Amino acid sequence: MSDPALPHSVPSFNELYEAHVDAVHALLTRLLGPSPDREDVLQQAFLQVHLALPRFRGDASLATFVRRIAVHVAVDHLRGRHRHLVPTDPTAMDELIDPGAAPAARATARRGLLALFTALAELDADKRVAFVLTAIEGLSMREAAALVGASPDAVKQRALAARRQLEARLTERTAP
Amino acid sequence: MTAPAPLDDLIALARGPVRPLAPAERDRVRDGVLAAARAPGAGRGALPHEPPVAGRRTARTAAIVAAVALAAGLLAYVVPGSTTAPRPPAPHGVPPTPPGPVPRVAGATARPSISTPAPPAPVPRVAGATAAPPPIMPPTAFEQQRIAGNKLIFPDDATKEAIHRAGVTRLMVPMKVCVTRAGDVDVATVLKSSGFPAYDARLVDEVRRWRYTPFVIDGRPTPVCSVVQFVYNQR
Repeated sequence: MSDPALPHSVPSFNELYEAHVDAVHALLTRLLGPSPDREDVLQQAFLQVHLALPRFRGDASLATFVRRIAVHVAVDHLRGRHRHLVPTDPTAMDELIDPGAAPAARATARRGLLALFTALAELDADKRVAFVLTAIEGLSMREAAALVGASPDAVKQRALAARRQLEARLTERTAP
Repeated sequence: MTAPAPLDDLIALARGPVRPLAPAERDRVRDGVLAAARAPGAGRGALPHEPPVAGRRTARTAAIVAAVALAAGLLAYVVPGSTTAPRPPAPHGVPPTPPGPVPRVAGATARPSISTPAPPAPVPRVAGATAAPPPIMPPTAFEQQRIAGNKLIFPDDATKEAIHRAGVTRLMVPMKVCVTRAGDVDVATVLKSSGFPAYDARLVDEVRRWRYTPFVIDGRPTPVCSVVQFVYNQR
């Protein structure tokens, strides 16, 4: 007789970690920017995954389960005193730039990404996360809502408000 | 000035592939997770909708303490001055900060900047303690536990005037901060004076009001110390 408490196959933490660490790292990089405390957040996210894994019920994919925890840890981090922590070194943006890019293209990309993450840092955590998940990660409103624990309409409103603020901020920063 | 990049162009840039973690970084994070999960007080598992709370966060702190050991750096609070004019380059290779109040974490390479001028030993210790000195917290972990208190501490008007008359544009004040088991600040000592005693006194007074979530190491609330650096810019 099968164990009713284990209706699905749960991998070991090490298997889960190896399978998802790069995706979570990329997600956190986009949510938080290439900030120096990202590794702390990554560790905290996987600690929460480790602790929650025994109670994984299989009602979502493991990838969703891991990403949902990572998003919540990132939101908690952004709601703390760290949301204004912005990398000031343009070379920190190289993590998001194709290593084969020409020097001129690399410099342009660095400036652009620095401007984007600086503007994102001025948003509140909910708007920032909604915007990154939908506009940058490319998730649907429903998928993003499942990760942040809000309704799709709420996520849409937050993402739209974030877009308006970002456009205004970027225009303001480059105005003569 | 450069033409503004449309937001959609910037979004396309941010969608690019992120450089994956190096193998050593992957291993370090995994080992930290496993150490923290084994630590007493790691507690029950968290549900995805539950934000981290003190007990779980302190489990990570214990792991960080174990991993980082005594390699404490500096935690710098940059207090903007009376203008938004560009700041002079930061000393000791610290990158410039954006305008506005930005808590900035300086790396271990900045540590000599306070150990050299500081009169006592570079590692803060509790005066008169006969037992082992409190552990030194790494700056990010120390800051994450702070729950109350003003960190943007400006000089009073008279001191600002004195700073202006002295032609000084930047004050850097490293402070030793020690926290009790209950999370109260019991030691707040200026390690290197700003040269303006009223500002030093104000810093001490404000930092003494800070409150922290108790630091739990090996399952027990533990007094800890760290070094906090204040940077005040004025033109």
